[in-house]
Formats: sequence, structure tokens, C-alpha cells
Amino acid sequence: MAPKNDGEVDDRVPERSMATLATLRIGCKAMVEKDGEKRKAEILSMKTVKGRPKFYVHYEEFNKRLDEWIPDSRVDLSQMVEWPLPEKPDPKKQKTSQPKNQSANKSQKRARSQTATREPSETPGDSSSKSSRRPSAHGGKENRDPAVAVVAAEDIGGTPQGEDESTVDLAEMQTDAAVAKALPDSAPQTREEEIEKLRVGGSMTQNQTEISRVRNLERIQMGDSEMEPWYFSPYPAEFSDCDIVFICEFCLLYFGSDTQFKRHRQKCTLLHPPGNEIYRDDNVSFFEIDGRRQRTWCRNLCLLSKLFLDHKTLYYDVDPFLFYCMTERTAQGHHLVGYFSKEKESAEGYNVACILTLPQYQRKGYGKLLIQFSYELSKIEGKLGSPEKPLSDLGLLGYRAYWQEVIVDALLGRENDNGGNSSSGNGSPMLSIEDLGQSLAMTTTDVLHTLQNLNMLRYTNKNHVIVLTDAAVQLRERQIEKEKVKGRRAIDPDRLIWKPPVFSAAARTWNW
Amino acid sequence: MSSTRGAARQVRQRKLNTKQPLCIIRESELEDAADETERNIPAVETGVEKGEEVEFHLQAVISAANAAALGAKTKQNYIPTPEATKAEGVDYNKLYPKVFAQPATYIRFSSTVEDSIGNAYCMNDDDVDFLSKLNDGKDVDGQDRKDKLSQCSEDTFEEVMSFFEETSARIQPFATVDNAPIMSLEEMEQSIDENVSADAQRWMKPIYRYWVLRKGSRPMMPSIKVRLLDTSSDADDADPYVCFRRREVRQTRKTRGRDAQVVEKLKKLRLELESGRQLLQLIVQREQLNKENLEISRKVFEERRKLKEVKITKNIVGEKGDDEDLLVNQKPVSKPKGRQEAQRPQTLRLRPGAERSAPDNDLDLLTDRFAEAEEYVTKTIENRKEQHKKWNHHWKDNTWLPITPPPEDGIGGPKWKPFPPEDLGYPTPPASIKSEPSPGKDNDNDVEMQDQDQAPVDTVEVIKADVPMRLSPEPEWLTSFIPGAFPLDPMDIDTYELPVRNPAPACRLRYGRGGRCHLEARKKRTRGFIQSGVISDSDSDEDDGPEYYAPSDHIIFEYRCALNSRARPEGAPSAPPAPAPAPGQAPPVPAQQQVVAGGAG
Repeated sequence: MAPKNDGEVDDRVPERSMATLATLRIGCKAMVEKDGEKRKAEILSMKTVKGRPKFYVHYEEFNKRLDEWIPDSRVDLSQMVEWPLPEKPDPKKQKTSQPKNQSANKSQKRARSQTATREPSETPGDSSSKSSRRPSAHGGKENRDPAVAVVAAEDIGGTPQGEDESTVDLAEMQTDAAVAKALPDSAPQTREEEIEKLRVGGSMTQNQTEISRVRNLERIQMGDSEMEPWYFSPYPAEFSDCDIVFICEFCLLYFGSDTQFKRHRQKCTLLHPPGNEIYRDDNVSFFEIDGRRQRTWCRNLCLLSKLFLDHKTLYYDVDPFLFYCMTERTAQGHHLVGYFSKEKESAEGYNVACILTLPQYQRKGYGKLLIQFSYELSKIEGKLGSPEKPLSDLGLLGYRAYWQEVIVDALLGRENDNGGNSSSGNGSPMLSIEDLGQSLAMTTTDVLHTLQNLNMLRYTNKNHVIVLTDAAVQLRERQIEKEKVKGRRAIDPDRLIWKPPVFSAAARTWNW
Repeated sequence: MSSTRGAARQVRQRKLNTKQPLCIIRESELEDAADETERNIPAVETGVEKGEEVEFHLQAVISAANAAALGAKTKQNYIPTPEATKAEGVDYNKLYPKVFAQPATYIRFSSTVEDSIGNAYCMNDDDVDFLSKLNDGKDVDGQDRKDKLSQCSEDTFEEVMSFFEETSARIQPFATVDNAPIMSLEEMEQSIDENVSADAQRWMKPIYRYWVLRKGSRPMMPSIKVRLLDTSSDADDADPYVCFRRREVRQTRKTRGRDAQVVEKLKKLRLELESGRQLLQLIVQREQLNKENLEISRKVFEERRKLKEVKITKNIVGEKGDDEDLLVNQKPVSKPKGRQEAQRPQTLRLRPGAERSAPDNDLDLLTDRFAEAEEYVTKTIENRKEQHKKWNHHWKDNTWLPITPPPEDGIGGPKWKPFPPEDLGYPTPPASIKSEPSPGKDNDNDVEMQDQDQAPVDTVEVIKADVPMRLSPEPEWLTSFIPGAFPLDPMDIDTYELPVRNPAPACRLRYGRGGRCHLEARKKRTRGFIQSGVISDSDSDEDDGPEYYAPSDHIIFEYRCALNSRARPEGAPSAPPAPAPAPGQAPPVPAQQQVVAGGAG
């Protein structure tokens, strides 16, 4: 993997010409056949298997989980190939000050090699929090957290409505978002800054070197399932030579050899995640596990989940996190279905750090359960929560679906409480964004974004209104119909036996 | 709503106050629904990394969702992911046996992975080969083994290998870096502690040579790279395989005060741990005793069972139910009432506190109620005694068995006074009691017995003193004996046999209060015993004259009280059911008393 710097916003046009198998090298972008159509793909790695070259390619505009090893036969050499740009003298000193227009954005490609040093892009979490605040608050360190701002506004209570923290200029908010995309000024500028940010909390990284690596494991076997990993995970380097890595379903230990794994299974006595069960219903259970007390198990869990979470970082240890693991029961034991981690104390007010449904359980509605559970915990804590950013594509869709469902439900519920008689304008139910967020333990920002995204926040007669759109109501009705057939799966808050754990200062510090 | 681009056309919107309630309306209620600017979804911050936001599949789903939000019909889109498949050739039920039993309560668990996986080392194929060779009697190099060890189990092999791996990792943590020589067997053996099984120690030598052959620079079980040294060097920063670094220690300022604090804390912790340890030790002891007890019970049961078998085979028929008794431990005989009553005051003392702590606890135990009633009676008796003493203050009670004895009699007086002629006047027994106990049955004394029952202290003392039942050893009582009828030597009391069964009828003259004279006849008393003292009628000169059995002063008095207490108002706060239980409880008590007394007499 040669050093490359196409992460830089670059006006230079890459050189294009025809190539042969022999001249193809890492960094080239060639047309590659994918599912019957040709896509532009970047070669990230090459190897020779039985005398034939194989290429590890990343398809442009496809998620990295679809990166794969392909035989040379799928590379279309009848079309021109883009050659990697020559390295700039000192990319570190370059500032990404040029505004990114649409085309620049498009040509912008993530850095693909370990030594590439593209400035990481804006932290979305930061930009959203910043945008919901007056400009003067930008620099204030104590104001960095949107949740804190909400609480602060509440304490004031009867402040005059107007220029206080709770007013949001929606237009300005959008502008801010656009500016944030263009100007990554508040994001950590250097690797050191990013690492420092990770040190004091958070589990997600924007760092390109962390997230752009060739997958190291071929296949994994876990329980009675086999799957292909999606991303790189720092399992022992020896495993990259193994055809398949065996992972014990209960202790999550990893083995490169079938014999060893079978021996381990004879000795392993774990039958469920090694923590306290805090929730149990007919389908699933939840276990709470302290990263500090169950270091090995939580490390194993993180290694496993890193296979499926691109932005997860394992740079620092698991001590400051709690892990909430959802399991399914059988006669064999509690099978891990998914989990989310949560900082013991989040400076940013996040209630979820990483969240994952294992691939063998995906698309069965478990993600929604995990998300709902995270909000149930926040409700007990009496806090507003939001997931740590950046979200993955799947994470975004999962959260949007959940937010949409609960918000539409809450609004419909409010409408029913009002007697269902909303024909006259005066009789229509009223609800503030903050109250809506409070009742769902969601941050105001998330509520606003959901409403906007569903086109439910409108401006009419010089007033903002929440519109229960026909589309949203119909969608919800269809979902309810489906639930009636399939049975509704939801977290029953009454079965959650949990108190927010309290950590002493000593337990919170990040040493051993 | 996106007003910035259409600023010229549209007036800037008022800011949205998130605290102000907004109307929730349906789409149909919108007045200017036709507004074109409403027909697009504003760009909303997604929270997805910018480079990935543009991804094809995500955009497809988002735009489909946006279209749906605007009312368009779209088919469901999703992001393709590599699928998980069912693993082939895996005997899942063998790998993961069905051994899980769901507990009724939520699981609480704190063992770690290390606690739960046994020996960390797991055999690979090479090890399997080597072990089979070893068990065939061959050494690593194919030579015949010289030791006399028989078979090495897989577990033992793994234990030894784990021991080697762990010991070398502990003693040479930087072997990967500084190329330290492989530890010798002797060095290894120094680290053997009690956790290494005897089997493993025996096999250490032959396996060591194999371990040396296989040992490389990396641990044999593949492990993740965790930074060993907490250095600030960036050497491994770029190494993608190094993970789970420690977060740097937060420095706390060191001061003398802080040090002292820490010492205090540690001392306290030490003490607390020690007491915890002791507690645990006691629990262990208790459980061991329990276990022994169980074992012994089982042994007893087995023996009894054997006995029963013998009985069956020998055709020995015992009494009805005898065999059952053999097999089942009998319930312990309930303790004598007297002792229980002696303990009552303690429980009573505790009660008020308990009631205060649980005011709504209305589940009173019947026995507690009885105890309360009894205590009420005892208290009343004591009160009346006191009252009597007050009445008789400055008065000398010269009656027979005065309720309030003259103080000097009780204190320090000789146990057996010489016969005082003036005291020998005709004693007056209390009017409330028949001075002539009815003859015939044991039950004659019912009333008196009941009274005695209400004066538990007396009873206990009698038993304790090992004096025949009928003789209360209380000095104040003894002073009132009519000495003529008694041997004066206290030593004789124990052996003194009262002529209980004297059939001769008798009578006596008694002076009552107010100078009344009573001549009382004593009927034949066939059976029974002297309840208290013996009274010799002053009229009679005969030494062996008729004996009068008078109850002890206490008993008489308390009987009176008992009678009085029946007139006490119903529903007294402390003991509402008091009148009822006293008579109700009475019948069984005398019977018991009889038994005790009979035993003594």
C-alpha cells in the first residue's frame, strides 16, 4: 500500500490512460465488474494466488463493507485507468481551506493507506451542537454539549421567549450545516488532537488511518453462523493467514484452529455475557457489563464488533464504557444478538457510543430494540440522549426509523388525548419540541432533525406548526398492521430492573 | 422553510422556540399547503461521516425516504451487506451442549472470562500428535521415555503448557523485544505454587522439552497486541494491531495530608476486609457443621432403615406406628411451659420496639397475646402487693400468712425461728379460700394450681431449689411455719416426709379479722400433697394432730388477684383478651404441674 494523498481536496486532474495487468498498481482506479455492471473501483491491495494476480478493490460510492478481493478477470482493461496522483511534498502543512463544491466533494476520496494524512472532516456531532447555539457560544468549552445547553435552558424556567438558548433559527441551522461541511475548522486538526479527544471519551473515530485498512480476516465462524467480516479489526496478526477464525459464542475468545476451538469449547463454562441481567422478556434479555471489571470479555466484544463497525476505534481501552448486551435464550445459553456501549460519563451527553446487531441477527428488528433500550435507560437516568457521531449508514437509518416511529406515535397519542377533535384550530393539541424530546429522552436537536426530515415542521400564518403528514401516519399504520401479524417486539420498561450505576472518582479515572 | 435561498421572495421566518408549544395539525388543516417551498425536504445534518454520506446505497435509501415523506410511493430500499450464512459441517449441539437452565430471577454474575475458561492454553493439531506420542511412551525426539509416568491427559498437558506460557510471560515480559533466552526448567520450577496440580508437576519435565521446541518469540496462543509499556513514544501509534492502550494516569497532587488520608483509607479497608473474611470463615464453619449434621442424620436414618429391615426379616412386629417412628426423627418434646414463661419477659421487652418500627403490623401472635395477658396479671398482682404494703404501713399484720410480712421477718432473720408464743395465736387464713381442701381427687387443687401457674417465678424457684414441691424455700414463708409441726433443722426439710395420707379428720380454730372465730373441719384427704405449709390447730395439744394444708401466701394472694382481675374492665389497652385466656389456659396447666410435683414428691 503505497502512500497516497487523494484525501486532499485537489484540483489536479488525475492522469488517465490505458493499463495492462502488469502495470496496474495500488491506488489505480479501474472499471471493475460488480453484480453485472461496471463500477469504478480503487485498487487497495494486490496479491498473487496460484500465479494469478488478485486485487483488493474498493468500489467508489459503495460502503467499504463491500470491498473485496477480485480475480484479474473482473478488471475491465478496455477502459482507461486513473492513475494515483503523485505525492505532494508535505501534505501535513496543507490546509483544506478551499470550499468544497459539489464536484470537489465528489472527487474527494477517502485516504486509503496507512500513511495518508488527510485532514479529517468536520465532526458532525460538533457541527450540530454548534449550530444550535448563538455564535457567541461557539468558543465556550462548557457550551460544547447540546444536552447541557438544554438542561441549562430549563433551569432558567420562565425566561422570556426570544434570544435564549432554546430558540433555533432553522434557516441558520441549515446554513451552519452547510458551512460545517465546507469548513472543518472545529474538528480535531491533527492526529494528536484526535487521540487526545479519544482519550477523554468517545469510541468513534474520524481518523482515516484508523478506518481505511484492508480487511484482515477472511471469514469468521460464530455459533452456528459463518460470515464475512466487513472491516479491519486488530485481531492477532497470525489470523490473517487463517481461512476461518472461530469465535466462541459465549466468551468471544478467538481461535485460528478448529482443534483449539473445540478444546476450548470443552472447557468454557460461560453461558451468558458475564454481567448482571437487567432486563428479561419472552424474547430477549439484556446484560450490563462494566468494561473495567470484565476487561477481557469487553475487549473480545470490541474486537468482534470492530469487524462490522468502520469508525469504531480500539485505540484506547474499554474501561470507561458500560456494555449493554442483548441476548436470545435457548437451551444452549444466552446467545449474543447485539449490544451497545455507553460511556460511564459522557461529556457530550451521548447515551450510546457504539451499537451493533451481529450480522446473523440483522434485519430482524433487533436494532430497534437496542435503540429503544438505550432510550429507556436515558429515561431512568432522567437525561436526554443521543448516539455518538459519526453514525454509520446503517446506524443512521436505524435511528431515523426509530425516531420517526416514536415521534409519530407521541404526536398521535397527543392528538388522541385531545379527544380526537381537532377540526378547529383552537382545539388542536399543543406540544413544544422540548416536551416532545423530554417524553422520549431525545435531544431537541434529534427531534428537530426528525421532524424536518419528515417535512413535519412547517411555517404557516407566521407560526411554526407540527404537521402530522398523511405519509407519516400511513406509514405508521402500515407498520402497526405488520406488527399485528408478526407480533410486536418492543422493550417493556416495567421489566427493566436497573439503577444508573454510580462510579467513584477513582473508578472513573482512566488508569488501571 | 428553507428561506435563505428564497430570501428575496419570502420574509425571514421567526425563530423557532423549542420551549413554546406548537400546534399539532393534520396535513388537511394546512391553509397554505400549496406552497411550493414546502415541497422539498431541507438538508438535514445526518451525523454520518461526510465521505460516506455520498455513498450510493445510503443516498438511494435517503432519497426514497424523502420521497415517501412527501407522499410519493416508493418501494422499500435497503443497504446491501455481506450476508451471514449457516455454518456448514458444524455440530452445533456438540460444540454448545444444551446445558443452560434459566433461573427464575435475573442473572447476577461477576466471574471473568479467565475464571470461566479453565487453562488458557488450548491444544492444536501438533500438540495432539505430540501427546499421543508421549502417551505411547516416546519422548519429543522419539526416544523411549525413561520416567515411569503412565498417561498424560489433555487437561494436564494444557495445564503444563499454560504454566510455561504464563510463567515465561510473567518473568520475561519483554522477551519479544530483547531476545531473552528461553527460561530453563529449573527457573520454571521455582514458580510452581499450590495452584499447579501434582499431575502437572510430574509431567513438567517431558513436556518442557516439547515446549522449548515450539516456543517462538510470540506467545503460542495468538493474542492481541496490548501496549506493555506506558510510554509516550509514538512507535506503535501507527501499528494497527496495537489496541486497548491505557489512558494515561491522571496525576493527583501528592501532599502529606493526602498520604495520611490514603493510609487511613487503606487501614480501614484492611479492617473491613478482615471482618468480611472472618464472617465468611464463620459461614464456612457453619455450613460445614450443617453438612456434618446432615451426614450424621443420614447415617442415623440409614441405621434405622437397616433396623427396620431386620425387623421385617425377623418378623418382629412392634407397636402400631413404631416403624414410622424409627424412620422419622421425632419432634423434640415441647419445652415445659414454666421455662417458656420465664423467658417471656424478654420477648415482651422487645415487643414495643418492634411495634414502633412496624406500626401497621397487625398480625399478633396468639402466644404473644397470652403472654401479654399473663404479664398484665402478674403486674396487677405486684401492684396490689405494693398497695397492701402501703396499707399496712406502721401496722403489724399478725394474721396467719400475712400478705405483707413484717419487714424484719424477711430481712436477715433466721430461717427457723424458735417458737414464738405470741405468734402462735390462732392464725387466720385468708377468707377467700376454702381452708379445707376438698378431698378425693387430684383436681381438688385446680384453683390453687392455676394460681401457681400465674406465679411462674415461684415455680421456677421451687424447681431450682430442688426442694420438694410443696415446700417453698422462701424465708418469709418459712418464718410463718408453725414450728411445732415441723422439724426445726433445715437439713431435715429435704428428707422430711409429710404425713400426707393421714386419714384422720381434723378441725381447727381460727381467728379471722375483727376477732371472729372460725372452727374449721378438715375432711379426709385421701390423696394429694401438701400445697404449702402445715398448720397445727392451737386447740389441739396433740403433736400429731391434724395437718392443715394452706397454700403459700403468694398463691393465696395471687389467687385473690386473679379473682379480682376478672372484674377488670374488658378491653384494657394492653391486654384486651386477658380475661379469656386465663381460664381458658388453665386446664392443661395444673395437669402439667401435677406431673412435675408428683415427680418431686
